Amino acid sequence: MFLHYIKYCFITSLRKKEIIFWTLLFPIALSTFMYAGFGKINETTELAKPIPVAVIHNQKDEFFDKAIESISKGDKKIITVKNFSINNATKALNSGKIIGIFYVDDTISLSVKGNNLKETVLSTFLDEYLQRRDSMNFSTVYACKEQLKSHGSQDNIISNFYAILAMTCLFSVFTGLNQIYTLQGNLSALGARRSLAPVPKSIIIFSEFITALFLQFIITSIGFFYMKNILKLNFGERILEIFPVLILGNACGIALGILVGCLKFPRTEGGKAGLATGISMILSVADDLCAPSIRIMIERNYPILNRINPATLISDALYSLNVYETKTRYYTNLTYLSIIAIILCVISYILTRRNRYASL
Amino acid sequence: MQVYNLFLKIFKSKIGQIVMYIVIFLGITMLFLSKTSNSPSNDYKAQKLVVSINDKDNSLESKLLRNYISRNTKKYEISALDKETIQDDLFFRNVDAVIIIPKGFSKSFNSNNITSSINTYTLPNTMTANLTKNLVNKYLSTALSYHKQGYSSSESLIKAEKNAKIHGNIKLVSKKTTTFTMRYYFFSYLGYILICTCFVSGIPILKVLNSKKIDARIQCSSYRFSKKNFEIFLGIATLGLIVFIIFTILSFIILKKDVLTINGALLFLNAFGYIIMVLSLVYLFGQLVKKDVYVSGITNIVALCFSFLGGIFIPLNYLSDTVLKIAHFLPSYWYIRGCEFAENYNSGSFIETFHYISIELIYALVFYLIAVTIIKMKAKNSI
Repeated sequence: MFLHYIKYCFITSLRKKEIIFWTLLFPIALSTFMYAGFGKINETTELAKPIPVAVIHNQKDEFFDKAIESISKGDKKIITVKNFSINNATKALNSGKIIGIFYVDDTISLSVKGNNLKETVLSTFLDEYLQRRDSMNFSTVYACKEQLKSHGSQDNIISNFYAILAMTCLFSVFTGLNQIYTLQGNLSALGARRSLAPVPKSIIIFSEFITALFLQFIITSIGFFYMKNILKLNFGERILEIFPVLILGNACGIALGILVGCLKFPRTEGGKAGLATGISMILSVADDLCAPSIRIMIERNYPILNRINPATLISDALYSLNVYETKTRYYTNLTYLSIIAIILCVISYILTRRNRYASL
Repeated sequence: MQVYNLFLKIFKSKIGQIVMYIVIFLGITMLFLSKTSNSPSNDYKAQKLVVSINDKDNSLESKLLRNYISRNTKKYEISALDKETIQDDLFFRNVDAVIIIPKGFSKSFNSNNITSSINTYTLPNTMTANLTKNLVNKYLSTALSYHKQGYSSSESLIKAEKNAKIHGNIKLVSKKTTTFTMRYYFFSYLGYILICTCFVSGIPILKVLNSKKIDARIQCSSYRFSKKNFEIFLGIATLGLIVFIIFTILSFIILKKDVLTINGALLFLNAFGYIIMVLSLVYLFGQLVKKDVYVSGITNIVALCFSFLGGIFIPLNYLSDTVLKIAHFLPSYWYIRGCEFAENYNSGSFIETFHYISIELIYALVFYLIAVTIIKMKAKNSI
């Protein structure tokens, strides 16, 4: 009987196209749009890559030429010098082909188009050159010792994709809701028929939960592999450890859906779906899905909220796997997720057990 | 006017969803209030790094170094100095670097051996990491050279700071800034929210009117085909007008006098061209969608595609070349170009705005023609 329920639950779940859309196609589409929009934004705005510049000589300055040569050669070169005439250099600056133009006159000046990091690197170089000429000090002491040797990716754009995975897990509420909807006699005709069947409810609920969890795990994993292998996002080296997070995240989502389905209010399917969507979206927004820094703001002011938000716990577990050397925070997040899933299931059980209907 | 009345009746039932999207829109707009600037600056200002400094040495030398770093960076108070907290703050870009001056720094400085004497936490291979290290290395190198010349430690550090005040002549050739005004954010996000509000309210109405039963009933009644179509057109125009008026009122409430300028007028004109395109798209999807459950999905996919790829959510200059090429095929790209032109308009001809509006209207015409073709094909198949 258990296997029979699993088989038919699986078939009916696959036919729920809207659930498949929201849990599989929507996250894939969203991650694609996000990736196309700002997937590589840090590469252009943060990474130390050679900055294209033009140098216009109105007179000779050997010192400056040597300084330019020293930072435009080698593996860690800071600038790339492009050969332009004065008119073409101005055009190239306006079109964004080069970031700055150094004019070598009696004094050396720099023309830039904006106030961003790349321009700051160029202006800092010019300042340093002038300061060194003034102090006649051309030696460099490396006083800084870097302490951070992270093994993972430091690209914070990845946190948006953690949030999408967390949202996908939470969208399992629709599956959970659908399961309970077809189980409760007062909600659907199928539920009424099932109430009459001589099968213990525990078997039905358990088989449905297992099937939903399996299906959602497969769907979320497809989404994850799409991000990892097609979009080539860097999720770090600990890939296997990501799957327990997805399983527990989906368990939380399904359990939340079941709980919403068990509530006395709202009574209609639309109302319950609205409530489930609302809850999962609020939890996802609190996990930085729509705007950055909300999660950090909550962590600073109401840290307890982050401990009970499954979306934040999922994202934080993925983040800690990628960035930290130790796994303490990863295991803590998994524990919280398990506790939340169990609590939600227990509440749902209390709400549904021994339901009797006077008439159906 | 039975079809028109039915249109309005269904529209009333969708007001809740419109209100929901308005609330989302207001939330997003308020969120970006902090990122806005009122007027573009003509002067160049180097970006200041956000740095957290911790002085464990507490000597005169470390104090001078700390003061120098503080004066040249923006201060950030880190909650704890453990590795995980520092990594969190670096990852979420709350801070560009954490600098720790360890105990014994003054001793190292006085013995002319300051190599690797300052502990730094930065994001590897980034420009901010290089700038931070350069800031410290340059200052201490100069100070050390003075110290070697016989100056006392404090004198050399003070002289190094004086030397660091020499700045080159840097000219900003463009008045354009990377930060936009609140007005720009309002109108650019309108590109997203107009799609959401018009889609969630318009498509379900057209779906009802195009449903087999109602369509057949209208066809066998004395209602003329042209009259039905005219009333649907009127209904869509009313929907667009109501949505446009709502956001016009909101713009006056949020932006106040900022919209009562020539730039504001150009932005409104551009938005009006865009809403016509959106309504045309609503008409097209109204012919395609058969179930209510698909409306929300289509709305989200179209709105997000237009917003992420068209430059609504991310400024156009951050988009990669490939995405920019794709963006040329999206009406939202031309809408954003129109917004950028209107926002930066100072004087001279504003014909460029009409150029962008024309492109939006061409898209509207294309979508309308596709919709009409679909209607004709459907009619052919049903015979």
